Amino acid sequence: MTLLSFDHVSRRYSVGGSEVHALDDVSVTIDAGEFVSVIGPSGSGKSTFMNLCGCLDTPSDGRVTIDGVDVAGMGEERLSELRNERIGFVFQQFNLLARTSALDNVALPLIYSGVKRKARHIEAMRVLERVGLGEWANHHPSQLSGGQQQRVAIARALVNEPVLILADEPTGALDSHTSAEIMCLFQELNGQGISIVLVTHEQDIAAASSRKLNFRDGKVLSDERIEQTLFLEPGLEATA
Amino acid sequence: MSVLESVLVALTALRTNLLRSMLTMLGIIIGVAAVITMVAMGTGAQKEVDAQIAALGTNLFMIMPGSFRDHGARMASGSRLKLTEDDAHAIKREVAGVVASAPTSRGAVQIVSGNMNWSTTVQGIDNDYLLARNWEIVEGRVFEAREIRSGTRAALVGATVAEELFGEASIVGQSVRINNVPFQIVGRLGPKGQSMMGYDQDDLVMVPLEAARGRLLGASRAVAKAVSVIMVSVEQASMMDEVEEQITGLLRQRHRLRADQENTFSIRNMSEMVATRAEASRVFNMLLAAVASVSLVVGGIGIMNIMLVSVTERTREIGLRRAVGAKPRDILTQFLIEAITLCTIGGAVGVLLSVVIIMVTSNLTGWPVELPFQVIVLAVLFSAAIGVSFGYYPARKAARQDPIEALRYE
Ligand SMILES: Nc1ncnc2c1ncn2[C@@H]1O[C@H](COP(=O)(O)OP(=O)(O)O)[C@@H](O)[C@H]1O
Ligand SMILES: [Mg+2]
Repeated sequence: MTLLSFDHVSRRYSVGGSEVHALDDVSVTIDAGEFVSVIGPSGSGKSTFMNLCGCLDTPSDGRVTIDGVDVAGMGEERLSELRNERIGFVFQQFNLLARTSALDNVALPLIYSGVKRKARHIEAMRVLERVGLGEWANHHPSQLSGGQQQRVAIARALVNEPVLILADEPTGALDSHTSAEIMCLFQELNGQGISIVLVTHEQDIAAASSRKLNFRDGKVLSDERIEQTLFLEPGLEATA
Repeated sequence: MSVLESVLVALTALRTNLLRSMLTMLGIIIGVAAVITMVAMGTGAQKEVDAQIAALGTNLFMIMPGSFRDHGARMASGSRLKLTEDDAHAIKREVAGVVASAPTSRGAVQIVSGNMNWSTTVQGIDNDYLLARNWEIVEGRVFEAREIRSGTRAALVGATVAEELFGEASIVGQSVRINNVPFQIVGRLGPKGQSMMGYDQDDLVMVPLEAARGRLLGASRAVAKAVSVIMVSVEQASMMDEVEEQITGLLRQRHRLRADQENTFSIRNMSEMVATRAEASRVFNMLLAAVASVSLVVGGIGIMNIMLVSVTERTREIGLRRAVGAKPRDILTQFLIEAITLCTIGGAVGVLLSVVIIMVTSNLTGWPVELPFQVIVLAVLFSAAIGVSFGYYPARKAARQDPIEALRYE
C-alpha cells in the first residue's frame, strides 16, 4: 500500500533574484512499512525532501500525496494536524526542550492532540519504557547522554503512534557505538510496522535500511533495494 | 489545546526562566503599585476635602469688615468700617434667598471646670450661626431666643473642649468659668474636624453673642453691636451671585457709601473657595495617577522587550512545537498567555505591594488614604490588558515563524 507518493515534485527557492532548485522533478513512491534511507552530499536536497515528506513544506510544482490525499490542498492547520497524528520527527540535534523532564518532552505532541495531562503522562511513560528509558523519566536532557537524549526524541516521535518516522541524520551527533544502538531501535520499530525515512551520509548507517535513495543536485540519482544489515540488540553489542 | 493547558505551558516556561520572569514582572509590579498608591492617596485626600466642604456648611458667604486688598490698614481706620449685628439682621430681612445670616465674634479665652483648665476660643453667636454652618448639637439643646436676646451665660461646648474638660461624661448642666465668668453648659456640639486651614474647628465654646461681647471680648465702644464676621447661607447654589450683589448693595446703602467710595466690607464666597480647592486636588490626583500610569506603560514595554528576546531564543522550540503538531494559533496563544500571565501576576503582586505601602505611609504620616476595591480589580485587569497589547506583537511574530527555518535556527 502506498504511503507517500511524489509525482514530478520540484521545490524552488529564490535566493537574491536567482532560483535554486532544491528539489528538481522528483517522482518516488514509498509503501507502508518500508525502511528507506536517503543519502547524498550536502546540499543535494535531502532535507528538502524530508520536509516535504513531513508536511512541513509544500511543493512548488508537482504533487505530494499522503495516503492518497494531496498535501497541496491542505491549509496550515490541517497540515499541523496531519503531522501531529501520522508523523514522528527525529533530528540530528535531538531538539529536546531544556529544563523539561524526559517525560514532559515525550508528552509534548499529545498536548496538541488534546490529550488530558494524566493520560499524557501514562502514554509518555509507556513509550519511554519502550525505548528503555523508563527509569529516566524525570531527568532533564542535560542529565542524559547523547544516546539517551536521542532515545527520548524517538520516544517523542512514537508517542502519537505515527505511521511514518522521519529522521534527519539522527546519528550525526553520536559516536558509532551509540549510533548502532539507535539504528537497532529504528529496525525494531520498523519491525513493528512503522515506516521509516532516514537521512544520512554514512553508508554503514544507510545499510540498516532496505531501500536506498541517492540524491544529487535535487534529483534522485539512484533508487535501489538493498540487503538489510541487522544491527545488534544493545545487550549483545559487547559480544559482537 | 485548552486555555488551562496554555496557562500551564506558559507557567512552565516562566518557571524555567524564573529570575528573568521576576525582573520583567518588576516593571509591572512597580507600575501597578504606583498607580494604586497614588489613587489611594488621592482618593483619601479627596474624601477629606469633601468632608471639609460638608462640614463648612452649604452655599456660604463670609462677610468681614474692610477689603481684602488692604485688610490690616483699613481695619484700624475708623468706626465706619465695622459690621454690626443689625447689618446681619438686615441681610436676612431684605435679601431674598438668604436662609441664615449670623453675626459672630470670636476671641481667645481660658476655660476652667473644677481643676481642669483649657485655652480655647470663644465664639459669640446667635442660632443662625449653627444653621449656616450645619452644626449639630449631639447633647442638650441650642440657645433659646430669650437667652440670645438677654445674653444669658449659657454655653455650647465644642467636641475637643468637652473631651478635654469632661472626657466622655455628660456635660449638660455643668458649670464652667470662662475667663473667670461662670457659664452653664446647655449643649455639646457635634464634631467638625479640621478646617481647610488646618485648625481644629471643635476647639471652641459658643455663647450668645451678647454674652460674649459684654463679658468676654471687651467690646469696642465705638460701634454698638459690632461683630467681626457675618456668615450668610443661601438657599440654592444658583442664587449665590444674585445674593452677593444684593448684599453688597444693601451694605453699601446701610454704610452710606457714595458711588465713588470703595466697599467697607468684603464678601467671600466660601463654597466657591472650597470647590476650587476640591477641583485643584482632583486635577492633582489625576496628574499623579497619570504619571504613575506612565511607569505601567514602561513596564509593558519591558514585557514586550523580554517577550521578543524570548521568542528569538526559543525559535527552535517554536519550530519543534510546529513539527509535532502545534498550529500557528497554538503558538500565538502560548506566548500571549505567557505575557498575560507575567503581567497579571505582576499586577497582583503590585496590588499587595501597594497595600503594604499604603498601610505603612498612612501609619507613619497619618495621611488619609482610601483604597476603593474597584481600583484593585481595575489595576489587575489593566495589567492583563497591557499583557495582551504588549504581548501580541511578539506572540504574532512567534506564530508566523516558518517551522523549517525555525528548526534550522542556531
Ligand atoms: N530556505 C531556503 N532558502 C534558500 N535555499 C535553500 C533553503 N533551503 C534549502 N535551500 C537550498 O536548497 C538546496 C538543498 O538543501 P537541503 O535540502 O538542505 O540539502 P541537504 O539536506 O541535502 O544538505 C541547497 O542548495 C540549499 O542551499
Ligand atoms: Mg540536510
